[in-house]
Amino acid sequence: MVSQNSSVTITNLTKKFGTTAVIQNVSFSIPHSTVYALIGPNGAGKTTLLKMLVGLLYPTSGTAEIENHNIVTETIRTKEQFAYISDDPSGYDYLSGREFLALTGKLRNITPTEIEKRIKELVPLFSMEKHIDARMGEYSRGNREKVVFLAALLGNPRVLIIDEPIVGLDPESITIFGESLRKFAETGGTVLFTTHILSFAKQYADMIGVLVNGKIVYEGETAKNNDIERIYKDFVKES
Amino acid sequence: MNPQLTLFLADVKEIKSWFKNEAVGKLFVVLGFAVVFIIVLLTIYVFTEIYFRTLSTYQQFGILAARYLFHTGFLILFFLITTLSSFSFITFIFSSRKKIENLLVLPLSIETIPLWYFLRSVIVSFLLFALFLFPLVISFYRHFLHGEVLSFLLLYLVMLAVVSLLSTAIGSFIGYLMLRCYTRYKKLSAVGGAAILTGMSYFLFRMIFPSELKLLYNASSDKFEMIYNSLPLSNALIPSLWVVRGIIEENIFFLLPFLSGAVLISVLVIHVLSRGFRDMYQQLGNVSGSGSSPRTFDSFIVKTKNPLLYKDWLSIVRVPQEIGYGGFLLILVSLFFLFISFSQRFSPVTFNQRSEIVVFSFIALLFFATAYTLRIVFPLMAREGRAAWYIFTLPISSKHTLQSKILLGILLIMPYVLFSLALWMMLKVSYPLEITGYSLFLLLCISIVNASMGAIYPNFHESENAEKISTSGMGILCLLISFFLITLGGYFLNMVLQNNSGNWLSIIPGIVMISGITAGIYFLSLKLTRKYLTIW
Repeated sequence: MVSQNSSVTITNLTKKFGTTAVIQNVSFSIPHSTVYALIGPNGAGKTTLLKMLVGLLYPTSGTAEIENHNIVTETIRTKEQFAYISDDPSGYDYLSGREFLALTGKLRNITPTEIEKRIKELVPLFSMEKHIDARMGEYSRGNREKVVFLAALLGNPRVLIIDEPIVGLDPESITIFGESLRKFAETGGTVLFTTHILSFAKQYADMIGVLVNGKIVYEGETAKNNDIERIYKDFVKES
Repeated sequence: MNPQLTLFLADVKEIKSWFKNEAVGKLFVVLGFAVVFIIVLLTIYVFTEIYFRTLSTYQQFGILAARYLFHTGFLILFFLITTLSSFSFITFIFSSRKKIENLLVLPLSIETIPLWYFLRSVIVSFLLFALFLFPLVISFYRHFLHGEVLSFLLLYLVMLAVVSLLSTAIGSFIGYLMLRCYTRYKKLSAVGGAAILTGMSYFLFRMIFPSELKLLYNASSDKFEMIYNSLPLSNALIPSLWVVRGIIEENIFFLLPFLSGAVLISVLVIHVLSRGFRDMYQQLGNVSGSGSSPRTFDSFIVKTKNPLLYKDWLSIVRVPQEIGYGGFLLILVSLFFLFISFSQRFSPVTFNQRSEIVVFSFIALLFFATAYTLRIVFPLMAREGRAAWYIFTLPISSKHTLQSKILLGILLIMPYVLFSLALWMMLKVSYPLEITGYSLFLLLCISIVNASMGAIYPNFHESENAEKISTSGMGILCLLISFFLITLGGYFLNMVLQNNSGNWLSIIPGIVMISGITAGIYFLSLKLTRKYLTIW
C-alpha cells in the first residue's frame, strides 16, 4: 500500500547484484508519526533496502522517497529530512564523542549556540557525561551506538532510519532507546528500523513488515498482532 | 610445527591469497612497483658506474676513493634501514592490535610475537639491503675486483644477512624503547626520538664529510694516503669498515668479529623484547584506555567555517603512526639535502654541473614529496573508513567532501614548501624567486593529484592501513602520474636553466600541461566521487 501523505514511500524497489535480485519489487509506505520495524532473517535484504533508501546504494529500478523527496534525483534535499544509523555504528576513532556531536550539528547547518544547547540536553539521555569527552576509538560498541544515536537526534531530522539499533546495548539503554524512538514519533517524527529482536519490535513499533528473500511478505499493525513470533516463524518457514 | 614458522607461513599465505582476487589489477600493482624499483636501481647503477669508471683510472687513489664511497653508501643504507626498522616496530604494534590480541589469548609462549615480527622484519631488511646495495656492489666489482664472482656474491649475501639481522635488532630495540617512553612521557617521547634521530644524522654526516675530506682534492700522492687514513671512516675500530673490507677483500677474518657481535646483539634484543613485550603492550593499553579526557575541540569545530577540513586534520595529527611516518619522511628529506649541501662543499662545480644539481634537487624534492603525499594525502578519502556511511548520508555534497580533502592536502604539503625555500637558499640558485614559485606550483599539483586520485575508488575497508591503501592499484597509478608530472616539470626547468637566458617564459607550456593534467584528474575524481553510490 503506497500513500501520498506518507513520510517514507518505497515504490517497486529492486536491487540486483549481477543477476541476483537481493530486493525484488518492494513497495510500502510509512505514515507520519509512526515507528516501523522491518524484521527478517539474516540475508533477507533489510540492510540493502535501507541503504537504497538513504542513498548509499543506487536501486536497479523503482523509487525511494522521504518526505516526498526522491533520494536519487533530489539527494541533498532528501538527506536533510532524515538521519541514518548504520548497523556498524562507527564514528571517527580520533574524535571525542562531544566533537562528533559538534561536527554533526555543524554539518547539518545548526547554529553554534543551538549545537551547544542540544549537546547539553542530549548527553544526559544515556548518562554519557563521563564518556563524552573520551575518543570514540576507546568506546565500547554500546557507547558508540549511543553517541551515534545522539548525533542523529541532534540534527532534528524528520525521519530516523536505523539498521539494527540495539545490538550491544545494556537492558537499561535498550529501554531508553526504545522510549526515545516512541517520543520521537509522538512529536511528529517517523522511525524505520530493522531488527532481529522481535520483543523490541513488538514493544516499541507501531507497524511491522516482514522481509524474506528480498520481498515484503507481511505488513501489519503491531497492536493488532500480539503473536509476532508466530507470524514471523510462519512467513520465514513458508518461504 | 614451530609457532613462529606457522605465523610466518600464514603471512606468506596471506600474500598468496592477496593475488587470488582481482589478479589482473594486482598484477598491475606488482608491475608498477617493479617498474619504480627498476628505475631507481638503474639510476643508482648508472651513476655509480660513471663514477667508478672515472675513479678506476686513478689506480690506488681511485680504489681508496671508491672504497670510501662504498663504505658511505653502506653506512647510509644501514642508518636508513635501522631507522625504518624502528618505525616498522612501532607501526606493527599499533596496526596489528587485533592479530596481537588474538595471539596473546592463545596458549603460545610470549616469545612467539616478537620472534615472528623479527623474522618478517629481517627478511624485509635483507631484501632492501640486497636491492639497493646491489648496483653499487656490481659496479664496484666490475671496476676494482677481479676475483671469482660466485664466491664474492656468496660472501656479499652472507654479510647482508648478518647486517640485516643487526639493523633489525637495533631498530626494533629503539622502537621498543620509544614505545616504553611513550607509555610514560607520551608526545614528549616522539619529540625526543626525532631529536635523537636528527642528532645521529648530523653525527653520521660529520663522520662521512669531515673537514679533512676537502684536503684530499689537492693532496699530493704521498699525503693522500696519510690524510685518507686519518679520516673517521678509516678508523680500524669502526665495525662498518670490517664489513666493507670483508666484502671487498673477500676476507672472512674481517667479518668474523662483526658476525659474532651482530649475533650477540640480536640474541640480547630478542631476549629483551620477549621479556618486556607483554608488559609494554599492557602499558600501551593503559595509556589509550586511561579514561583521562584528552583535549577536545568541539567549540572550534562549531565555530570553524570548514568543519570537514578540521575533522580530516585531526584524523592525521591524532594518529601517532601518521605523525611518525610524516616526521620520518621529513627527516629523510632533510638528510638528503644535507648530503647534497655537504658534498657541494668538497668539490668546485661548473655552471653546467650547477644547473644539473638544481634540476636533480628539484626532482628529488618532488620525489620525496610524492612519497609523503602518497602515504598521507592519497588515503584521505579512504580514511572515512567504517564511518563513511555517516558522511555520505549527511546533507553535504560529495564535491564539498572532496574539496575539503584537497584543501587539507594543500595544507599538508606546506612543510615541503618550506623545505624548497630552504633548499634554494642553501644552493644559492640564480633565480630563487622563480624556482621557488615553480616548486610551489608543482608541489600543489602533486598534492591535488594525490587527494583527487585517492577519492576515485577509496578502499574504506582498509582505512586503518594507509600503507595498503597507498600501495593499491590506484596508488601505483597515482605514483606513476606523479612521476610523469615531476619528469615534465624537471624537463622544462632544465631547459630554462641550460639556456641561462633567464627566459622563464619558455616554462609556460610545461605549466599549462601540468595544470591541464591536474585539472583533468580533479574533474574525473569529482565525477567518480558522485558515483560512490553504485560501488558501495
